[in-house]
Amino acid sequence: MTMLRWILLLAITGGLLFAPNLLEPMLRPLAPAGGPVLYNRATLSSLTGAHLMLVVMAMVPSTIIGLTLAVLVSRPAGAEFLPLSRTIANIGQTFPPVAVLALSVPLLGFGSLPTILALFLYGLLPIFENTLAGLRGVPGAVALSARAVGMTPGQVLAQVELPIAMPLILEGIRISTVIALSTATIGSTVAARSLGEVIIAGLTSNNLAFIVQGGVLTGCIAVLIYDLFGLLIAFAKHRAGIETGDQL
Amino acid sequence: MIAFEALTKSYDGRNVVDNVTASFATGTITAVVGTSGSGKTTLLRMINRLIEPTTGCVQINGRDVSELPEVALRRSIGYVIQGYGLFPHWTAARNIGVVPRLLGWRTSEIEARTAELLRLLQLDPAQIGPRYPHQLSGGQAQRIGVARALAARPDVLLMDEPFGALDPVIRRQAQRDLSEIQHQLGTTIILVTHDMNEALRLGNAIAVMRDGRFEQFAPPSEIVCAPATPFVAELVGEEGRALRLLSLTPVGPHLRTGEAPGDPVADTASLSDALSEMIWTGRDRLPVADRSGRRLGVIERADILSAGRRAAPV
Repeated sequence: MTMLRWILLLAITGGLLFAPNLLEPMLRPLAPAGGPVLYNRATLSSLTGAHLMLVVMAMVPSTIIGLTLAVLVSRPAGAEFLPLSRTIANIGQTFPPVAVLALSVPLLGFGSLPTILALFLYGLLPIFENTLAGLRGVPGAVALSARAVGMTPGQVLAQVELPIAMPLILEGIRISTVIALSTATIGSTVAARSLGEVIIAGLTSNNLAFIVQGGVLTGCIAVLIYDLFGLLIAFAKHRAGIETGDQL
Repeated sequence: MIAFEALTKSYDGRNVVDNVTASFATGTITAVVGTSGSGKTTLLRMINRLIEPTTGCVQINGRDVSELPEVALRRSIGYVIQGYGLFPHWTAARNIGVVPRLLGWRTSEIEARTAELLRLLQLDPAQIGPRYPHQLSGGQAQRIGVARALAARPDVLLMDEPFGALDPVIRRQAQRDLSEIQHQLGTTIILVTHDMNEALRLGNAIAVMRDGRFEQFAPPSEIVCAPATPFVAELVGEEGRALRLLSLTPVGPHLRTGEAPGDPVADTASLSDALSEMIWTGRDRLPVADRSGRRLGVIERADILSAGRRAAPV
């Protein structure tokens, strides 16, 4: 079942990226009469590359800052900053990305930057909350033992807490990344290069074939990345000594 | 030697450990017995500075522990807790080797030490070493916890309810193993338990703790024969006191010269074991032999009975 899912996803994604001509007959009925069937202003593969780049540029700082904040507030000295950090992360999540785009264009100009900012803010909360949950999930006896055997606070964090929290941290990054992948499409409204360009072109020219190309490709890539994270999480669980029953 | 000097820990003005002054001889097992909330765990954790005292101090071999660096102090003291707190993401072998690794031992030394400890605790290094904690039985996990605490050859071992999570049969075995290991290594052990039987079985000395104070700090026989307070008496229990006393006394000192037929008892066996053997086999006197099987003399029923009498020397 999972094998079939992988094959199907890879076939659709690969087809759209590298051999769109093969899919032309299927998309033709969706295009307006006499209009173009395949998006032709840029190749889908170059747009996908730009799209993924937007996501990476947003997720790397989201991860670094979300993780760092969670580690800081889980230390005894940082505990009083927990409400503040939570509020900041919550605002990032509550503020709609479209609004962030609209507000940041005057400051940052058109292009990729407003989109990266919106995705970055939107991605903070899941990573922050999941890291915090992961660190708090370290059993009390284990954390106590780590101190009792004479680890320094840094060793406790690096050798015990983070490896045990890793599956949940990855789960948070997975949620943020998948949301960012789909949200990045709206970046094209402020001239960021992404797969949203194809969808918007379809909407403005009434071309359903364009919308399907952009939409299906974004969806398939999101599911593929979700599944890749799934493998990573299973591996991290195995490394964290959590019995999963999954075969690796 | 470990010594407490007017050791006090208070939380919100309440003394959880209240002005305790005591000392524990090197190479002995001291059991600290008390109900939950008596402050025994807090007391134990002040020794390796997981908890800092409010006032007073802990000394190890004459040095105030608050003057030693925390991390170095903890690496030099073994600590076993209930539930063991094994690192779930490390194999049993890596768990055991954690302190030597922190101390920067060479890999080959760590491996040799780990294998040595697994064998000491009657576990097969090749079989158990590579397993993760979730693949171990309760008894195995307990032994890995003890091995981890012993890895860097600490002079002092602190144990907080180390047998609490074991079923009764395995618990007895684990207690016997601990006595055996302590005998071999000469480690100073302070063991916290709520189980008076466990304390009587293992302790060379017993401290009964209540509301942060030591109610009585004495050898087991004295705790049984002369409980200092009603609370101690209640913990010991009135029924079976004589038999309990007999179970604490070895056969050795009550030997008489002579010979008797039948299977011998060991000189390290308790008087209650000897009495039980007499009742079971219908004999009045038993030959006594040492470990190598050499006959040492006999033990008489009348001597056992008088040893269990209330006026027995304390």
